[in-house]
Amino acid sequence: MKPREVISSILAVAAVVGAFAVPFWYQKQKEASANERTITLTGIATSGIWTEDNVTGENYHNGNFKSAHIHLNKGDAVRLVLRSADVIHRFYMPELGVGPVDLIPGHTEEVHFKADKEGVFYYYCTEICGDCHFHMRGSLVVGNAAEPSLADANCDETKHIPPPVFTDILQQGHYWFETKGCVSCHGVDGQGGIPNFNYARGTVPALNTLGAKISLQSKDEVGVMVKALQDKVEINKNKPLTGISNWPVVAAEYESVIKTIMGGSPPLKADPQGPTPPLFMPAWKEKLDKDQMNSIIAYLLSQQKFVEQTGWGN
Amino acid sequence: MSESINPGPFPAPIPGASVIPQPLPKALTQPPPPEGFRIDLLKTFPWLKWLVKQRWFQFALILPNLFLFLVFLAAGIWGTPVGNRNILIVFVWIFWWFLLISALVPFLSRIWCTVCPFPFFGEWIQRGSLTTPKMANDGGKGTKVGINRYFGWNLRWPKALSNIWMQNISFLLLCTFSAFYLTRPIVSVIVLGSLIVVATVLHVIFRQRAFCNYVCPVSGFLSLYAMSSMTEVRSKDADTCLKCHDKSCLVGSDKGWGCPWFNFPSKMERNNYCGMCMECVKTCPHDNMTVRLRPFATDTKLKGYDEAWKAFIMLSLALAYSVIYLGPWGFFKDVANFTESGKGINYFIGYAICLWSLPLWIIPSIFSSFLWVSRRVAGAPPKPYPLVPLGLLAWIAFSLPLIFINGSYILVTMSDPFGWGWDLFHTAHTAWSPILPQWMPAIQVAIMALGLALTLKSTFKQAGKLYEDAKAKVRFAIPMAVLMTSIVLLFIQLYVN
Repeated sequence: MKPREVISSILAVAAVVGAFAVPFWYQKQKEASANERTITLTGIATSGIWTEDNVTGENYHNGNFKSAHIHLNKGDAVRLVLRSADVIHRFYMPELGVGPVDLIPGHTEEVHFKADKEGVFYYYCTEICGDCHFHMRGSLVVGNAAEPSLADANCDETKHIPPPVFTDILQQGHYWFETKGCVSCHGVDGQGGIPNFNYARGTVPALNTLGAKISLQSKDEVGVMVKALQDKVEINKNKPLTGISNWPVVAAEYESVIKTIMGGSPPLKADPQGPTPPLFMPAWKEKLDKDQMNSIIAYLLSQQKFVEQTGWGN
Repeated sequence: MSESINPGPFPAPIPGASVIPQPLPKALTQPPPPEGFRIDLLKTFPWLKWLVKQRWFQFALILPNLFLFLVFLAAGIWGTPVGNRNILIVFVWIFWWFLLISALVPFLSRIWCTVCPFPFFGEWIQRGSLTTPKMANDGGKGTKVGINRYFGWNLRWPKALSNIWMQNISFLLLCTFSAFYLTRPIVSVIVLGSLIVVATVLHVIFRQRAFCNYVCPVSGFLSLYAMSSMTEVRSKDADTCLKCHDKSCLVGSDKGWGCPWFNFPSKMERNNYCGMCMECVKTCPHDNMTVRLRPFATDTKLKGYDEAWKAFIMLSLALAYSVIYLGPWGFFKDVANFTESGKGINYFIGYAICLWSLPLWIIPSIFSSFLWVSRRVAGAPPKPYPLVPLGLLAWIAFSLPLIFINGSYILVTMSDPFGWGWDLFHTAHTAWSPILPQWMPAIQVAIMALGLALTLKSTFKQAGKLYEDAKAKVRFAIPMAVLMTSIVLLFIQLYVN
């Protein structure tokens, strides 16, 4: 074999091997040169998660990505590499002063911070990014704090499945509560408790006490109200429902709840000078019709627990 | 009138079909017209001649291209799934496409085939060598083809498939599913990777560049539009070739391989199937092969229905793509990309039927009807060649916005090809900024007007070859001129509105 042929063959093999090896080698070098702990988070709107998995052209379309579970030691210097796999997200971790960082799809942003206090720190997407936006929340644990159990209905599993045929309004309400993302802020069965930085009440309000909030007095009254909603009876303070004692107030409160769902409401700040709380009630009028709203209300009313009063008043 | 006045794919005019008495066409026994303006580039630039004669010339061009191409494939697999931030999508479907259709083909003919990485591995296996030709009489293993020696089965390509119909179909298939691979890096990897695999397999089974000549979807339109290109590989002197007994350009020699494209280079009169590999320049013992500069749109012969339909396909798809990808109708984009948009597969099937009907049936039918009119009023039908420069210019007009509007993505991805946060050339954070968007329709109109001018010139040139009488020339040209003008106006309407 002529020397020219030998050199050509070596160059050809080197080109093939190098094309696949050099990018990874360069990336490894880049990461090794950093003195900080590198954490890469990729936002995926279609799944409604932040993941540490490597999202690539190869696995994006059929990948089953896991939500990130980040544990840091107190004092860790962190290089946080942020990416979006699909649409524009905005990463925000207010308690550690990280962000908000706009994430353009396919673009990489880097932020650096020091985990100098122990605890659980929540991060969010604060740019509405699709049907699963309200699931895009995660937590970062520093030190020995216990990892919180986040109320995460799997957005991936529900968003592409057509709604089932509902047998009753409670089943329907439960379905929409989970699939539309209400659960991600208001918690499983509306129990609340999801932290919202600089929010006046600290956590997102629970909704499993909605019955009491709209002045229903007993399980029976909830039953009457739920049946009325199921039968699509017009809720009007001038048309009282038999069996509900404080009807004008109940009707007015119901109207107020509908108005809040339709139009949303801005969160009240704990510190007026502080940042806007990352979680807020958005306007649902374009995303939910009246029947869906009523079904969610009925479902939440059914979660109300009443203390049975005895004749002795205790 | 004899068949020789209609060497194109359409039937010869019917004698006596004309309703108007026609002057007789010029006798076609006249000597061929002089070739006209030509510049011998290898004579003008001796360094270029030295370069193309080196055995390593083609390898040295392919190697960096192959490396980059494989890096792009790696980016498609392991890089970001976001199309406009993945170098595979941006460089192949925006930058390469624009470069190919707007610069390489019009000016340098099929120079892309010289550097194309698709057949690299297949050709390496087939030749058993990257830079050194193997001789049949050197006692080594392999099959003798000409006086060279090749590995693999070296079967002859089936005669029934010795046309560009497979390329027509493969290009239509690619275009039908374009919305999938234009937006998804992994689908692009599958498409481009499959082309490499198919090319390699076919090189092992069949002789020389059967894949390039008969299967490759890119090669099909390159063959058509290379006709309009300003560069050609030709023999310098026909007599020298006639007297040559070696025919090394065809059968090979110790200086190079026989033409891998199944051409007889010394008799080549069109660019269509010349891959510009320069083997004939190397092998010619009389130094009679060269590369020449020539006027735009010089080759004017389309041979066979396959080539004519290629012209229809390309023009139709330029029109369809302008509607789908540049038009304001989101519905078409959604249908073309139905898996992402949620449109049902029925819509996509309808879209595919329309997309295939347009070039295979509708445009040819319209063309045929105008051809019928021409035949009735002038006695002879025009050839479809004028569609070639028009189609090329239409593709350039379509491709311009791709690069002008999305060009900033090129800067971003060259610095961060995988979307991993690199900044190799400090351009990774370049903001998206379209270039001259307000001028785009005007530029597109100018390009289409140039296309129309070239088309009309070509039509009248045809008339000039057939008739001496001015009225007859006009009668011949008017129906086609009306058709071409209508097509151009349709494009302009799309671009301006």
